[in-house]
Amino acid sequence: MTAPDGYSIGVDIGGTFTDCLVVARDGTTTVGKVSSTPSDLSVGFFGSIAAAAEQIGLDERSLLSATTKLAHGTTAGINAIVTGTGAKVLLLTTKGHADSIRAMAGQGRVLGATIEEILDYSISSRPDPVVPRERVCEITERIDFAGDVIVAMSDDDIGRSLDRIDELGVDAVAISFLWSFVNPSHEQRARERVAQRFPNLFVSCSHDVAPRIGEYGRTVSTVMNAAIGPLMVAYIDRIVQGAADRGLAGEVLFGLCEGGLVPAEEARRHPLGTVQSGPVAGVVGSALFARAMGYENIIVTDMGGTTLDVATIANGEVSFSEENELERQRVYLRKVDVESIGAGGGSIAWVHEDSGTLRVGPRSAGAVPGPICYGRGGSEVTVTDADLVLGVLNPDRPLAGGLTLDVDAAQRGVSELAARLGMSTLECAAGIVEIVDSRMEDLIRRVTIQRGQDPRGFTLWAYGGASGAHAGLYGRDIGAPEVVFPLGDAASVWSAYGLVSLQQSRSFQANALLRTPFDLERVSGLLHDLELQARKYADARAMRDIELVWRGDMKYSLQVFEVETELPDGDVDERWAAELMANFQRNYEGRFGRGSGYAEAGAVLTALRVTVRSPATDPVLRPERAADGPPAPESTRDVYWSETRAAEPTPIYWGPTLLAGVVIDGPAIAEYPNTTIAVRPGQSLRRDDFGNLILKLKGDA
Amino acid sequence: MTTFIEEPSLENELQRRRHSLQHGYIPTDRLVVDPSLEFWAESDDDVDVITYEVIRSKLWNLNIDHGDTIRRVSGSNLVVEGYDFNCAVTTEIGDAVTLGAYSMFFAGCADEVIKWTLEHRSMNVGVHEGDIWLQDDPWVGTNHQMDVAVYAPVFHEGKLFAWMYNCVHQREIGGSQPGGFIQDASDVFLEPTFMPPIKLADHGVVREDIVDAWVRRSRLPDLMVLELNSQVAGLRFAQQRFVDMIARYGAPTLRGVMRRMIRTTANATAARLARLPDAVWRDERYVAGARQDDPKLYKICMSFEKIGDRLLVSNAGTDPAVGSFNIAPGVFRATVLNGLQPTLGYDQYLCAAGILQQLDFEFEQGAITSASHPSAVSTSLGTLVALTQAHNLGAKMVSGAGELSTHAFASPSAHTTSNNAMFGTDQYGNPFADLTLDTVAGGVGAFNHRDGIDHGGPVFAVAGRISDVEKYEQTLPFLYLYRRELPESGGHGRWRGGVTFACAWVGHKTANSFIASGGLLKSVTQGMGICGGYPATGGYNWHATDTAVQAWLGGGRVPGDPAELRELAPHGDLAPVKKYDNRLGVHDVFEVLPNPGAGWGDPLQRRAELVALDLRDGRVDEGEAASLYGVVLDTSGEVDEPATASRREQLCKERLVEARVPRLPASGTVRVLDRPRVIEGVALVDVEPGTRWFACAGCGQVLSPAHAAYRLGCAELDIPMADISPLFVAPIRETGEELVMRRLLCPACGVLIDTYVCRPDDVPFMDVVMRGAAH
Repeated sequence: MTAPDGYSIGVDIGGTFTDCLVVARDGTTTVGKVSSTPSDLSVGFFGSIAAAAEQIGLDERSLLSATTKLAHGTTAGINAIVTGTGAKVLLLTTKGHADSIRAMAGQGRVLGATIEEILDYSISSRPDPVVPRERVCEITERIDFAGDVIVAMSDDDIGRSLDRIDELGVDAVAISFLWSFVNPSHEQRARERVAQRFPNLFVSCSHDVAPRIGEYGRTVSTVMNAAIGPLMVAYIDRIVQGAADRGLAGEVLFGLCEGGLVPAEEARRHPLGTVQSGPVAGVVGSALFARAMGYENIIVTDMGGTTLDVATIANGEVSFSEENELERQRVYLRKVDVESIGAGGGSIAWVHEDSGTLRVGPRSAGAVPGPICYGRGGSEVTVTDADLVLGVLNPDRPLAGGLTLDVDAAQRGVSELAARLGMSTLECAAGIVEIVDSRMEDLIRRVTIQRGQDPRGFTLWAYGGASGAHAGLYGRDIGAPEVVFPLGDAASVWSAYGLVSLQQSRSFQANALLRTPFDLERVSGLLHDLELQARKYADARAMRDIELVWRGDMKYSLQVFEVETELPDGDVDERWAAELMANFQRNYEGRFGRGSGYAEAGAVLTALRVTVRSPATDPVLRPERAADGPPAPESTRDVYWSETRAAEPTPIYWGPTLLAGVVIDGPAIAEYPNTTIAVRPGQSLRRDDFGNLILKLKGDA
Repeated sequence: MTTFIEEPSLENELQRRRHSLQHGYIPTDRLVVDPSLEFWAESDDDVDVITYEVIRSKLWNLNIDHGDTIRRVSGSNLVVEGYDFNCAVTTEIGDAVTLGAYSMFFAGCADEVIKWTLEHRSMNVGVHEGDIWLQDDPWVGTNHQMDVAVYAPVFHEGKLFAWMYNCVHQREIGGSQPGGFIQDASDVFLEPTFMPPIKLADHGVVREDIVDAWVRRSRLPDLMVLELNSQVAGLRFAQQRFVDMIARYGAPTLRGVMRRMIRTTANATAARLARLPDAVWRDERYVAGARQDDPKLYKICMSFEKIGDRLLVSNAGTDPAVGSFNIAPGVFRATVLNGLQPTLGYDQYLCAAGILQQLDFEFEQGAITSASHPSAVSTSLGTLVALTQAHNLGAKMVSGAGELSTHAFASPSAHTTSNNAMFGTDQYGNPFADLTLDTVAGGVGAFNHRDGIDHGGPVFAVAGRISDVEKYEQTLPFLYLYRRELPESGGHGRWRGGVTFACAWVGHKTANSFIASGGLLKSVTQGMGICGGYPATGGYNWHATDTAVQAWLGGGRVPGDPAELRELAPHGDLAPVKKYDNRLGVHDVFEVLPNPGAGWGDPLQRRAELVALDLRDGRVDEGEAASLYGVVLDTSGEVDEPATASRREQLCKERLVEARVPRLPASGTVRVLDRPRVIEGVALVDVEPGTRWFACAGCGQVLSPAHAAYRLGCAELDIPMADISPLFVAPIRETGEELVMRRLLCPACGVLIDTYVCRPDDVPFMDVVMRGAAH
């Protein structure tokens, strides 16, 4: 069989599964799901494509030779960081400042730690420095805040560090000097010297990887980029070569956590940018898909085994964060803003002895040993065990991958907790769910209300394995009108879907420290240089119909937080400057609340940025066959609902049989191969014409 | 302290008010409030555990979001990076159900401030819906004048239901020296003007007359407006969130949860206290740095008397208030609360009222840690000394108490604080006054089961951090020559204290810039070890003017560590004590060594393989490994176990030969296995009915009858402070007096039981006294 042209493929590699989504030109989607292959992730990568091809009825080569776009979100980099299996890196840094990665700006004990760990010193710790002392070389050189060279760089010191590279047999070099993001000349010269002697060594420079104030975060980012560089280069080459060998018609593009796609050579240069690209693609894909459906304001939630990730999309736009935490270190990485808490299906419920109260988390049983009901040796009650005891999860339906759930073991675990609290088993299970959902609600509140957004005006989007059982509760409690589970069961491969919908994009940034009134000639010059860089990039990539998106980072002179602000169109003149200030003030208040800015003291422009991108294409929404009658439940089982404080016989629907237009009134359960949706009393679930499930949280009143 | 003896009533409100503003306010159980102010009464005291946990968590999150709001609006690096602020949610009468995880003693004063406001403002000018209050009176309850409280009531159906509170260190509130830490103040009139509770907003509208009055005295009024704005924004946010919670859960339920949080925390605290033997734990120490021209040592005392499940805290024996380093009684109370949080309240979301419920306080009126008006209080030093002392005493108190002891640790950073406030003209040509936080960086002290935490920070700023070099250089006119970790800096012991760095600055692109060498005299360390652990250095401030630094830099040389700095400026020396204006021009250099953490336990009991690693990492030198830790390494650097064992035995014997014999020797040995311990190294043994002994927990050697002082049964071995390590400055250089670290040894086995710092001729004070024994 010959394949029609124009397939797009997204592949997302997760910890457990590798997901592939193939989208045909007419919008038809096909899922390929295989187990991830940690020893060589590219095996799972191509395996998932083959699995999808088989579903379509094609062989792998036929599919790939008809594929114009293959987008990949990889976890190869993050895995190496988490497991500490990255390259052996030598760090060159400014003399006197080698210990910035040890002092960690005083944040080491706190960054990425739970509040329980912070307050209870007996379990408090800090991470090891990203590079051990013996692999840090100090270079005599100094640049100041204004970019002025105060101490010339010592060529002798560089020479000695090159000898050290030889001596230690390092695999990669990170160069991070103070103020390099203002004046990169010393880093550039150091890099040249390294390249002259070691032309094949992976080198990353801080002005390139993380051009942002704060030497601790910048250095960590540069080191991490170097640490994953060599293995990512090899990995990317395997994917690109493997795809070419299998006849791929188009090219492989790699997802970035900034929310765009780049070709292989860009991903090789800045591999750190690929970290968390899968989850980010899910958020950006949601934004695009929601817009096509007519939603401008959504809150995206992804609840898995260990964490809940939350992002907001306001007026169709995602927001970005520049500073993040990774493995308890500060990392500077421009990334779609996704906040997380350690609350998921694996969160552990426990009784606090000294007060006799019930607590949930922050510890998680993870996937191994996992919940008690997984029968993998877990002995502590988790949220998933509670869901099972309540009847929300089906004890008779194995999970994807064939795992059967041991409801009796979960019962015993919850009963034991309940007895210590003087409650019934069901009350206790419902309580565990309520506590964890309340914490999720608090996080959602933090990312909306704290940014001047009212969650009641937002639609909640939910995907990830555990969302279906919980979104009805945390959604209700923040006052959202409805929850959308996009594309029903495809929600479980949503990141792969997101990857397909991403477009090529790349940002260029110029750092500045310009105070009001702005030096407009300087601004104009910087913008001109940025535009040249962007257009050169686009030309080299033969990107068509490009758009340039102009933004700047601004803050009030007397305040500390920066806000990304869109730059006005047109000539850089007084009008331009006035419009820029107006944009900034609007954004600042939008982000931090009315009256939060102090304009009297003026503002500072700290960075200018241009993003060159191919225009996004709206996803094709393909109407589905409508149902020709009311849905029929597959069975009935007792489910405990906290609203009525009783276990009630509840209709259970088999999801794949629910067709467009059907409405199920709660209480009910809709089960899919990869997720279970709880329709709580008073709520209703509808399947729309495009395969999405929409959970209405409130009655018509 | 002379408490106000008359029965409190509305009639004697004025007298009580004057008394509290004179001697400091400590709330009692019974508040006298104008009857026109109605309190919400209804409470569901039977809230289920699920609702309890949900709401408890929400109140905690409310506080975090309250703090974030302040950080977003505030323009202060101290707030945004240093978390030098805090917030609290309290009950209608000011009992704090949860504090934020920031500067702890800020919020520890919340209940005092609110209760004072209720007792002294409810009748005139009245407490109403829509009020916002402002106050920075140390005798009402704030660490020093710069820590400004802004707080507001929440009413429900016309009745007072709760309070939202925050307190921010405002950077420039006037006074005779920029920044407000008045190092040479002899009384409070030389310090920034302060205000007892005053209404900042009436009927929801901020009063511009008050704002003007507030900022008029500042050198940088714009900053003050912004800081005030941030506090008001935080409060309004918190109020709204709280009102939403009332609507959602119902007032009685919310009230019920708040009460239960206090009850639960009180129960947990009580249960922990009940596990300890009834005894008095006491600490006495010297501190110096009252004023610039005063090198004298002053005595600071604290005792914890544990009776059943309660703790009576006293500062009896502390010298009278002097110079500029005093604190008011309410601040003492807040610091004790802070100091006990890691050992008694580590798992209760900082529910201050619950811990306080188990504490009683007794004050000696007019002492350094319970100063009366008009003693000078702006430098905040007494606060950190009292906190360090309370923390250390709390750790010692639980050091023998099983699982509870794992939460204890030796003194962390900021124990012997300096103040490096700066002012002058910045690199942009503008006047500035600011403060770097490098001086409070440092390590967490050692635990009884592991080393302390390197660069783990102070215990008062739970989430505090010190910011990046570049962020400071962007706003302040200096260059960091280095921030150099000193791996050897952690206090010695069976477990080592966490390390600190040293940092040095040179003025940059400034016409005139100055830095303070304020704070305590750092040679008199407050960083005490625990259970035989060695103290940590108090650090130093080091200064050199008119150096060749520009020639060095221009010629391509950077001094990159303390040794190179001294090579650059051999004429440099310790900065004059408590000088607020050391010049930091482009030819001047200034170095500060902040505080590492102190050690735990006898160094001879440190696992030998750890000492081998210490040697590799520069945490000890060869001499220390051999003589202090008694470790013998073979030629390949591996531990020679038999040789180490015999050397350690030999060193214990040598200690006893060298030591002063016990002042009151006791004899005999007893079985100590499974006996309760009053501290880690001292067991309490009932030999026969009515005869109790203190004995060495290691070998069973009897030290003293339990009604006497075990310390008098210990051999004593003193060592001058400067001999501990080169990082210690000899106290005689700053105070004119020598001090020693006294090691108290078991006279039989020679193991270190306790250490403390004293004058050479001091008789050991009784650090543990069984209840009922003669004092």
